[in-house]
Amino acid sequence: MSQKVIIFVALLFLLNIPAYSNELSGIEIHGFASTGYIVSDKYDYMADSKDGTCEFNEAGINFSASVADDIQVGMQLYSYDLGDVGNNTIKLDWALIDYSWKESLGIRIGKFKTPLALYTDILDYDLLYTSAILPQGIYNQYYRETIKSVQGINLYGKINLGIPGIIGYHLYYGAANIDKDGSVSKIFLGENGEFLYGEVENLTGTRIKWNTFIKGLSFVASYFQSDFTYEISTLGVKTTIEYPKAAIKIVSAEYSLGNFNAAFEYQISVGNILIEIDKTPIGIPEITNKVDEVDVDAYYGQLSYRFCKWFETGAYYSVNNADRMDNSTIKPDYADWQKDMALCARFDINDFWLMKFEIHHINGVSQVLDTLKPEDYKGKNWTAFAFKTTFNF
Amino acid sequence: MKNIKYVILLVIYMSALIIITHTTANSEVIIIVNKNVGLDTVTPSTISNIYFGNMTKWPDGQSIHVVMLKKGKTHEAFVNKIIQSTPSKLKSYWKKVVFTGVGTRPKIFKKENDLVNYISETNGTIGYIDNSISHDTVKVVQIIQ
Repeated sequence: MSQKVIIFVALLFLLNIPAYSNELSGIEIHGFASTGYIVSDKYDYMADSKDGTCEFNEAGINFSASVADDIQVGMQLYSYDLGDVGNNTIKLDWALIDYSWKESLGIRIGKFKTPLALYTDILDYDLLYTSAILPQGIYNQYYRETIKSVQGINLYGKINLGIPGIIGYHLYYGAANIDKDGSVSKIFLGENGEFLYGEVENLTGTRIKWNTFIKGLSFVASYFQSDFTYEISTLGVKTTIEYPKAAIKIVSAEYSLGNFNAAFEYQISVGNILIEIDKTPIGIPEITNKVDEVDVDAYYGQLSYRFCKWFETGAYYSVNNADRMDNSTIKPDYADWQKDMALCARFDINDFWLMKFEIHHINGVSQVLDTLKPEDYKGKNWTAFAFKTTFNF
Repeated sequence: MKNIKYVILLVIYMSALIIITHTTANSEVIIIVNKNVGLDTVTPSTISNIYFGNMTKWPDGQSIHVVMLKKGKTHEAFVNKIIQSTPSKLKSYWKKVVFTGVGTRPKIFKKENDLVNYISETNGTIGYIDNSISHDTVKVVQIIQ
């Protein structure tokens, strides 16, 4: 399946290069395909990276058209592979109808990318940022399917305040699917788990962006809340995981002037996860309930600079502090945090093709999967290297 | 004799420099819009807001349709001096629009004459050209500070 997607996108890419205008009877067609390699020295990070893996790719193709002056329709198909997750299954990334009624009010209906923080809506498209991997403190790959798209309704608009600047807003409501081969399942299923049901409902959120009177300086405040439900069966025992009113609050600042770009974001997530373990399906009349407290805060600071048309470099320092659900004493203290110092280099070979090289020095393992056994802890300092190359048209 | 040779070379060099300087001085990026756009003056800040999606409607309510050049000196002068950004940031912004589904890419032209023709035929459009390019069929908007 992976090869088919890449060949399909590559074919469209080749067909469209000479024209530069990717139009077919008024329908715009764009796409991208990326492949990469990730290797780490002590822990499997995102994929089976200890041995090095090429299961680190993405591809997408979209079709859009303006059906009236203020109305646009479009859809994007997307697939990704990240170790055991994704496996290049083609999914609908977004499909929407957008009516831009006036500057201060537009409406988007369908499945749309989540307006959350600075980069949630682009976290699947590495061609749009400097690094190969976004700061994981906030843009955690394992939770991408619960936050990256919303099926529902989005109201948006911009209000020009004059001298103070421009305020842009998004308000949205909807739901999101959880796939049995997705990243959330990777966290919860375990070796013998069978996926029964997964849903993110009552998803509400807002993002307010203030483009200030200082050129290039903007501030963003985001709030995202949802009711998360996930059911699995492990050797007949049914486990229901509920995370009601799961809330994420993020404040962001970005400064972009000329070739220079700086960003800072801070996130807190607080709530309670309710776990019900029902053994009645295996003949034991026992239902146990457990409450796990979630208390995560994360932040990162990022700088990047483009030296010339073809070369850009960047660095970030990302921190994730997580009170683990399992407070077992057999885990070392560094299981409660992850501090990631990344250096990246991006080469834009031409308008359609880019390459990235990136090295991470990481302290702590809070974002390495919870499936680590006590003997798997090999020390708090470790290193990862990532390479990625992306084509787009 | 030897000095005369140097003088001639110096005159040629100075002449070339003057011609280049003169050409550069006359080379000016102008903002053009379709004649149905009711706008006569615009600030660089407003142009920047238009090209980075912070302003999508003209004051009379009709949609703004952005038109761009693919590359070249006019494009670079427009991006660097008028909207005070970089070609890569502008390109990245429009790719974000395309891949997140919040809009369609602007019309992009390789030749400035083609850009003028498109703007003259399409309501609500805005673009930029070098002022040496014929632009009788479109309206020139004065840039004010």
